Amino acid sequence: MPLVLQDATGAGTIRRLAALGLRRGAEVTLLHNTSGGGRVALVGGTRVALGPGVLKQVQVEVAS
Amino acid sequence: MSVPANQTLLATRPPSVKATCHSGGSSATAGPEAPVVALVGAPNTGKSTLFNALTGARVTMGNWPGTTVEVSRGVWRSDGPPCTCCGEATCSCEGCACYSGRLDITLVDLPGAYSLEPESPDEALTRELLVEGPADERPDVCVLLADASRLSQSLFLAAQVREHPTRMVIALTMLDVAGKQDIALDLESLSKIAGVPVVGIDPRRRNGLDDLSAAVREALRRPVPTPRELALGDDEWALDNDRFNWVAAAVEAGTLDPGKSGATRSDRIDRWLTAPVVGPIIFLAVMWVVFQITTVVAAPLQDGLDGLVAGPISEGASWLLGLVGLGGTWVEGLLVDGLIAGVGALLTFVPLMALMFVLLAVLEDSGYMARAAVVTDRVMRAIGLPGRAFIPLIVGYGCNVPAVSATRVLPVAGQRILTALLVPFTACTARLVVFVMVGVAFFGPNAGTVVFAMYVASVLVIILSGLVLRHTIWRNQPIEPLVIDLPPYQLPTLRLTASVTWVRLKGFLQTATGIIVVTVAAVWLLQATPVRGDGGFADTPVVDSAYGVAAQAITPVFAPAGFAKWETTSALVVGFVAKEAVVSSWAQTYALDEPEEGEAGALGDRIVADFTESSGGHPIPAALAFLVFMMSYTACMATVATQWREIGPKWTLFGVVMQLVVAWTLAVAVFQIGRLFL
Amino acid sequence: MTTPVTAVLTEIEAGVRSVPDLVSRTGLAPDLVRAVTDRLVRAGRVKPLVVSSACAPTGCRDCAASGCPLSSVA
Repeated sequence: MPLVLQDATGAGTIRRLAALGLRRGAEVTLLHNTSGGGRVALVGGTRVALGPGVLKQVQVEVAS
Repeated sequence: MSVPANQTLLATRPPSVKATCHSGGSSATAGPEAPVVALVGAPNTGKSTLFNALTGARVTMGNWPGTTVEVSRGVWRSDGPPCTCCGEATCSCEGCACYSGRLDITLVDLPGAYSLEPESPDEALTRELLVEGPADERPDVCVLLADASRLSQSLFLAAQVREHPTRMVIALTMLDVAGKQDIALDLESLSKIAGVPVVGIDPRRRNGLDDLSAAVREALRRPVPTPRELALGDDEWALDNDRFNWVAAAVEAGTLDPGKSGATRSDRIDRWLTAPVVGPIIFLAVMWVVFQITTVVAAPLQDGLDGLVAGPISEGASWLLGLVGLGGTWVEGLLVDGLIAGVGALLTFVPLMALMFVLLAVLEDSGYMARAAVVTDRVMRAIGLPGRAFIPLIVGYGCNVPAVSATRVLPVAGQRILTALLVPFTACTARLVVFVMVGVAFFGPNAGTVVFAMYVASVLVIILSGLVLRHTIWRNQPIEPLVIDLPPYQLPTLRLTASVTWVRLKGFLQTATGIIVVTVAAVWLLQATPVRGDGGFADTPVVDSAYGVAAQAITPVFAPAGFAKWETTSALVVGFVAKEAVVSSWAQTYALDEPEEGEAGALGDRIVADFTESSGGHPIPAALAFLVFMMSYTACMATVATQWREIGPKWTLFGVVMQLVVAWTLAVAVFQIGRLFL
Repeated sequence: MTTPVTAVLTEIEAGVRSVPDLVSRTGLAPDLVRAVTDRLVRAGRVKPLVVSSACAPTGCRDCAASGCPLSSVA
């Protein structure tokens, strides 16, 4: 699923996400939920746990 | 260009690789017209192995003239495809620079260097030989050895070389090591973005050497490249920033994506570890195990050390003092009962601390810590702390001393300090002993409930204090949203864990010992100094000593809290030194025997009587106020010493003052309000 | 990221102690962070607390036991 970051929760967060591979246009596999309302995403071989605050800001399109 | 053997190099000119100093047989030189290739790279990248593989026995080694730096020179003889102009195996065309066929190259092994900005004589010489001096005295090609498992570091040097008009070929080694670390490289892309040919080699197995030879020949045929363009900012590290940007771009281009694999076994484990319900349960279970280990497993070790200090060591010291005629004097009192006992008490913490460090290392190394941070995030976020702060707080309920050290799991200093300030509010097991004794004395069968209530109260105090601190002193620190990289699971390495633990232990002991010695000596001195009455030095009843007088002077402070009795104050002061000593010293002040464990005994009766008197007939609220005060006022000396080490003197003192204020306020509130009802 | 060295040094001076944490806070690749910290150490701006045998030949990447304790000298 290509991923688009809608809004900055802070420039630092965008940078961190980008470094872990979550950039505009990146392909992402969403894995399981986590406690506290988060989700684990698999992008480019790295697994990243995202909290609910970040998830709200991230837009994802489902790839066919 | 060449200098005969018996001529020394002129000191005023920079050294040159082309000034060959013949110190060996003629087999060590390739002749004055041969191209000169320099090998550069960091130490331990296999440079010498490559040099030996390329030159065989045709080598001379020795110090570069005028320096203590060793530079090897040799002949790299290789065969290549025949000359395209004349078709011969060895080119015989006049003035043909085709570098084909059989070719002898003068190979110079420059000293190992991480950087061209000289940080050592080796690097200074490398720099001089490689990039300084007139063009015809520099090497024709530079072969840079890069370690594929430390690619960014290796390419930093390449970025620097690219700032000069020097032909370069990058020889990539340790590809097998990189493979084991799951790093897959695309040499073509790397080469394209770096603008430098890249060849993979294995000097030990002599792989890739022909490719290297071909790449060097090709480089020789080309003109000298223009130095790369720099994009400089205006800060202190502008040049290095630019170099690392170049490196990052090259590395990213050259590193293959490990691939979008689907859910793996690691994911299945994660599903449970970070699940909404099961995750926290598992986390609590893990914390319980940590807690148990730091209390139960450490306990026998601690008792053993305690016995060692109180027994053979103290007896030995007493015996020694007796030999010198000091037995039974105040010197023995200070040394044996004071210092040895005090420092010995610190030593008993060593098994505890060691276990703590080992457990933390295992949790972090194995990869579990990241998952734990996810689980605890929501809860801790409410206090404005990251999920990992849970760990020191949990450990604190066992013992505050390792808990303060455990704040190292927090990456940011501000978070570490805040958590370390909250740790003393956790009710450690040593306080439990006092809780139980007082609880039984005043509440009889309801003691258990009261003690439990104290634990709950401690949690509330932590949360409230955390919130207050967060919104005052640390209000400017942003709460970052949760983005945590979950590293793959792996088995912790024993050697690394042991080594890091040892270093931490050593640090803790060094700092804490100093503080303990000072405090014990101070307390002993105060107790030994008579202020009134007719006792002599070190021979005076406590009540008449400086210590006792001071305690009596402080006591009125507790009047609003209902337990203003100097014996009680004294017990609280002892509690600062070590909570474990409170009950016994309290009994001592009344000249009573220590009660049995779990009972209150005669001491309890006496305390109840005293409290009834000091509170004007409201012993229960006074007892509760006392318990609340005991819970919050300060941790023991060893904890303060550890805080001193971890967060520094300024914050430690702030914490001490803060706790005294909080404890006193709470105690007064509890008593004044409770007095109306009980 | 246009200022890797400045970014890493800023984090270290803010108290970040471990390489994995530097990675997540700066957004740089681990290998790059290691190279930058090596550079800062050689430049004398940063002092490694645990050195030699504990720093495994495979590099700081695996020194995850509560992080490779770098401390800011500046």
